[in-house]
Amino acid sequence: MTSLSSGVAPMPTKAQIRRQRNRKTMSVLRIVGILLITALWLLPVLWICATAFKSPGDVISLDIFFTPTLDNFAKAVGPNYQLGGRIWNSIIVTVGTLLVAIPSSTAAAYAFSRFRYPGGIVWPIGLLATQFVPAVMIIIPLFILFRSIGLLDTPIALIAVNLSVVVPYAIWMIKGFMDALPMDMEEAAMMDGASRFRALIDVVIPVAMPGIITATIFCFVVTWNEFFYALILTSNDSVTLPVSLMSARTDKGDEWEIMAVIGLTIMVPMMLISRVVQRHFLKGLTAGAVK
Amino acid sequence: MRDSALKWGLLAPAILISIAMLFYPIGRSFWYSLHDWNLTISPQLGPFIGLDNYVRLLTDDPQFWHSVWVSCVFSFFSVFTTIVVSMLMALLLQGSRQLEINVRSILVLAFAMSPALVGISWRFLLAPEFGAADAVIGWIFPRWADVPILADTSTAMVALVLVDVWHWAPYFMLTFIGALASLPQETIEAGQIDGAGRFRIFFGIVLPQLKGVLAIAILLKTIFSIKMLEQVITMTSGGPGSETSTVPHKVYETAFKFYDFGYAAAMAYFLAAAMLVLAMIYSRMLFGGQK
Amino acid sequence: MASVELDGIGKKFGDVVGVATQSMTIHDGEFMVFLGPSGCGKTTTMRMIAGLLEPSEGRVLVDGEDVTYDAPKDRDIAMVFQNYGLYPHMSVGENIGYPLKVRGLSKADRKAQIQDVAERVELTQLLDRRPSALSGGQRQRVALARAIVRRPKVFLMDEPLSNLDAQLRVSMRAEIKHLQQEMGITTVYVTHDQIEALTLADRIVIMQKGVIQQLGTPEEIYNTPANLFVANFIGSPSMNLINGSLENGIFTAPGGVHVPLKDSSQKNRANVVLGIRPEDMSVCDAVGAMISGVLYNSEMTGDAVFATIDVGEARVCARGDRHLRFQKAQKVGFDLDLDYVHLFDGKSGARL
Ligand SMILES: Nc1ncnc2c1ncn2[C@@H]1O[C@H](COP(=O)(O)OP(=O)(O)OP(=O)(O)O)[C@@H](O)[C@H]1O
Ligand SMILES: [Mg+2]
Repeated sequence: MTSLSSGVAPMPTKAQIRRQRNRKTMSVLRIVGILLITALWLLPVLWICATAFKSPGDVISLDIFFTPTLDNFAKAVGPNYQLGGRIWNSIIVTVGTLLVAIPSSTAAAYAFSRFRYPGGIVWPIGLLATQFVPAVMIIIPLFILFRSIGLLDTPIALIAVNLSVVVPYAIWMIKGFMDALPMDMEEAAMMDGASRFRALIDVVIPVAMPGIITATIFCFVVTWNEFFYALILTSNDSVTLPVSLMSARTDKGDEWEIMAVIGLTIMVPMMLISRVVQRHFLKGLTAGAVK
Repeated sequence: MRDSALKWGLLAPAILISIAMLFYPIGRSFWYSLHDWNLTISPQLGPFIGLDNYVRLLTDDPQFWHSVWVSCVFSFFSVFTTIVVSMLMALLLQGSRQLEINVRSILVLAFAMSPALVGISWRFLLAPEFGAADAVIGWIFPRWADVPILADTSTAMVALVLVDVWHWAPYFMLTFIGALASLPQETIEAGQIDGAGRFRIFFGIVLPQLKGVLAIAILLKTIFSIKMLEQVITMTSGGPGSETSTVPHKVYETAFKFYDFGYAAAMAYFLAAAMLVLAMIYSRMLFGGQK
Repeated sequence: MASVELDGIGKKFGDVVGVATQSMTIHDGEFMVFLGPSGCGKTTTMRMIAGLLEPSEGRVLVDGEDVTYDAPKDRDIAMVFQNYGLYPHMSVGENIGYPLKVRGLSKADRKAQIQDVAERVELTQLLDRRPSALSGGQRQRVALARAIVRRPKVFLMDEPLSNLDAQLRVSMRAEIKHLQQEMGITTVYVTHDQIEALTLADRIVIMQKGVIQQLGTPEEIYNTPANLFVANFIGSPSMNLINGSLENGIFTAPGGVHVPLKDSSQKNRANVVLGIRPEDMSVCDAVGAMISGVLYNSEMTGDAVFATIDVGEARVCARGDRHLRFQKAQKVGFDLDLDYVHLFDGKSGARL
């Protein structure tokens, strides 16, 4: 507005100088903020990871430098902690849950998305609402039930309970995705001679795959990390990784280095997929919540 | 209708799962809550006592009301702090440069950590003498250098809240980043052209548009906070004394430490009812104004 | 190859009437176009033929066989969707071959037929691409190819060209017409573009608010519209409609309109609407013309000049020679070609 035509470089006004200084302060503040956040979230995790490689003596020292050792891992896989067995249990429970949850949720999501039922939207909403019920309310009768049919401390019991957590969310996520798919494609498939079921298999599911993957990752994270139900339902044979964390709290005091080893084991898959998680898991949770 | 076999067939697995693992236990719990049943006394369901458990709960259990108070304090501060912190983080990290993406991946890791692992890790990090976080806190605030954080009445609750914030802030941050990204850029540019400062733009233009997302985030976080149990079990076990024993923890102990199933079920129902009322008030307050 | 008969078919969506009880027969090998304004029930009717929508009443017969409650797959009817409905996760070739795959044809057989059809619609170069890597016109051709690859009994198309640009629409139109004639497949085509309808159709069904207004050849529809709705709907610019009365074989209207009808046997009536298309009038001297008035506007479209005059309460438009020029507020007269004058009952709108 001032000296566009004068040909002389305009002198910065006081306001401009102030604004520039402001901007500089802001960007310094920004960097400091980001660093602080990174430190607050990264250092604790790193410290736990490092602890897994420390000898018991180093664990209780605050020195940053220590001599790494793999003794803790050897101890963890030993008879006291049976890390190998715990990993195996966690894998069985997680894979078993996903194998049942994803197909049945996908089918139900398609059904809710495309058919009208008496009661309508009440059913999927009611299903999701059950997730707001306190976990204890659900586990008491199931504990009694599993005890009476001898399923306590078995992977089957855990898989069954995990389904109750995972299926409502998965249905909701996949349904959200399918609602957004145009009917054109599956109608085209039906006109092309496919039955409705075949159209579902050939067309709807492949096209809805991103949504199904999102739901799968969500279910994976939830099941892999699940602690409370496993704490109640397992005692020995079927203890999963998160529950085995508690076994590091012995009468003789806490064995933190073992806890760190188990913690590291739990985190490894999450670290491997953290990029994917950022993309899918959170998107899915919001989609479910917002719709 | 010709699709009716498919219509119900697709739904059948999900219906079976939700009846067996959700609706049955939820209904069964209510039945238990009308009985005087302690598993240590009898493996069979005890005598029917009508609403006596509820009467006892409401009129004659100061410990329970203490846990209600603990839950209220915890929920209020954890919801408030989580939302504020995650909004600040979202503003800092909403960019899509490599730096921001990497920092976000680290943050996501905290969220994808098992709640049990979060609790145990922080129990370790906050342990007196050898806890790394404890040392850092003592170094920054010498006043607290000698305070055993998780064992002190004045600090245990603060720690529980902050760890919960640590766990959840990354998730809500990503939710808010998503919401910020979907805001129409013109509204912000219009503000800049009008000469509004950063804070003006945020509070006057951005925040009002985020109202819907904020409402859902607050509602969700409130529910998560009220349900929060894993970290209490793994981090403080409700202590010192019962200073951090929230309602879910109280129910858990009543059920699986004292095996007083009837009474625990009544507590769980009380909690569920409270959450329902709260959710209704909230949605009235938060969504009512939008219409 | 088949005939399609709709027998008293109707569809209600709750209280909304999508299609009122209607009947029609589409002959073997015929190109039938459903034409009408948005929301008139064209798609609904077509989807009932397809089997994608169950009628609330009536029957659908293909070759005399009742298929009302058959699944789409059992009807051997192909359909092209407005948004093409291509399978995004399959290549063009797989898209085209899908109907054959569902029918259990071997891979080799499929390949031959896909190749055959692809040649027909000029897609041979693109068989390995995904639909997302195609232009609109190419996607349209994939959808066509997928529909014809199995030589269905009936071919349904719901506004297949509406997503294409004007030029492409004209060439695709020709392509569709050519394919249909070559293959002789009974075709039902939905559109709300009257040029498309008139150029493609053997016969046209004009619908409004779920009710058939007229069913006839393009000539019949254009030259003898059955009612005011059809008269007004077909033609661009649309037919002039003048309210007046009929006495002794002469139509008169306010503003000095005076039209001696060719057919003088018409009864005297008070409330009559006269319809005349702009191209069925000629511009002449104002003095002694059947219709005359003050020029409101004149538009030059290149090959013609359209002159609009104010006559009483009506505004009448005529097509004139492209060299015609007018002055502002000039008095202009129109003479009518009496062979193409249409009369409608003012109250019911029916043709007289
Ligand atoms: N699923 C439905 N639920 C309720 N009403 C519907 C449904 N489908 C169509 N209708 C109604 O039925 C009437 C006819 O709709 P239809 O889709 O057949 O119109 P159309 O002639 O194809 O219009 P367009 O040219 O816009 O495609 C409309 O009034 C429409 O609102
Ligand atoms: Mg339509």
